[in-house]
Amino acid sequence: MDIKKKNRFNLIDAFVVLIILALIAGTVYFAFKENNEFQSELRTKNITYTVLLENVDKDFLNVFETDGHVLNSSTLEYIGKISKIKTEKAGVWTDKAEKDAAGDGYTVIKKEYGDVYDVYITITAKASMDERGIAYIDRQRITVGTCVPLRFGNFSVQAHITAFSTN
Amino acid sequence: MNTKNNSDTPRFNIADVIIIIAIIAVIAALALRVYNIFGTGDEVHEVKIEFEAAPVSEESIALKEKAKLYSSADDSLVGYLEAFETEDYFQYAYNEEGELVKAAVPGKKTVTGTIVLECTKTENGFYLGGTLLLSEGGTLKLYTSMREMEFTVLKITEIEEEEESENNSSNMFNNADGVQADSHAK
Repeated sequence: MDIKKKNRFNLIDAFVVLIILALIAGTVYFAFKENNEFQSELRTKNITYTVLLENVDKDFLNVFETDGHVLNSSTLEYIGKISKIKTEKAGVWTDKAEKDAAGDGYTVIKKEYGDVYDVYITITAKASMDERGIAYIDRQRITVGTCVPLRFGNFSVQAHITAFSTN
Repeated sequence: MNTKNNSDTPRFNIADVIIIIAIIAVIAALALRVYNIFGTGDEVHEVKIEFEAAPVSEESIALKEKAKLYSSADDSLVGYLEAFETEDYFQYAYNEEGELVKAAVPGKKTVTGTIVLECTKTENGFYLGGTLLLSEGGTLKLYTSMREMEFTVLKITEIEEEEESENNSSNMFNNADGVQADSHAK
């Protein structure tokens, strides 16, 4: 009878197992964690960056308003306030060419189409500069050419950063 | 009486087994990590990559020679941009006579140049970051402190050690100047 009791998996055993599992998890985490997370938030700077939204339908242009808030559509975190909006008719490169201004070569002819626009939106925000001097807003790296998922009100879109400056 | 009790008590139970497995797992994980850091046996080489990136908007090239390059995939420092130049980006289109001609696309540029990457050399070729096998014709997504760009690899050349010493570039990362992040992209 006594022997049977001692064979049971008791509370202390469970406790030991939990500690060991935690130890394993900790070891694996620290062993395989890449040490590439550069220290962010070393310093905060004001950042102004411009994003290009291509081929936006005319019906959606009213969602962009100066002083409107911009969210990251993946994380829904606030990533700045609109300070400037510029729209221009979107165009497509045709398969037609015309003589260039110098007359010794050709340039492709661009044609506007439909009620679609390229929208340049300038956004101001606070950015964290990491130790490499690279700006981040809510883990979103701000570099020219980087694609950013944005949300304006209920409108979500992918945009590319075309310029930025910090001060 | 004492002797009897000792012999009846099981000395090795399920908890002991789990503990032993856990300890072995921890030791294995640490050994693997140490092996990855110190003992992979792969040689690290500097590799010169001739690249092309196109089309790139004329106003947002934002590259700078000697700028450090980081991998977009894992943010690791992989090398530096050695040199680059820009030229018009061309497409084929029909002129007024209906002939197919090479025509420049206004506002678009082709960027060509060389980047230097630190890679591991294996019998299969050069690996970037230990996992990405470099291939001519393949693409690399990298960024500087100013610009993220997808580079098409045109040619891969291993930098010989003699050339390295001539160039006094024992550590390529020391050659790479950082780029001021607060410069406005042109």
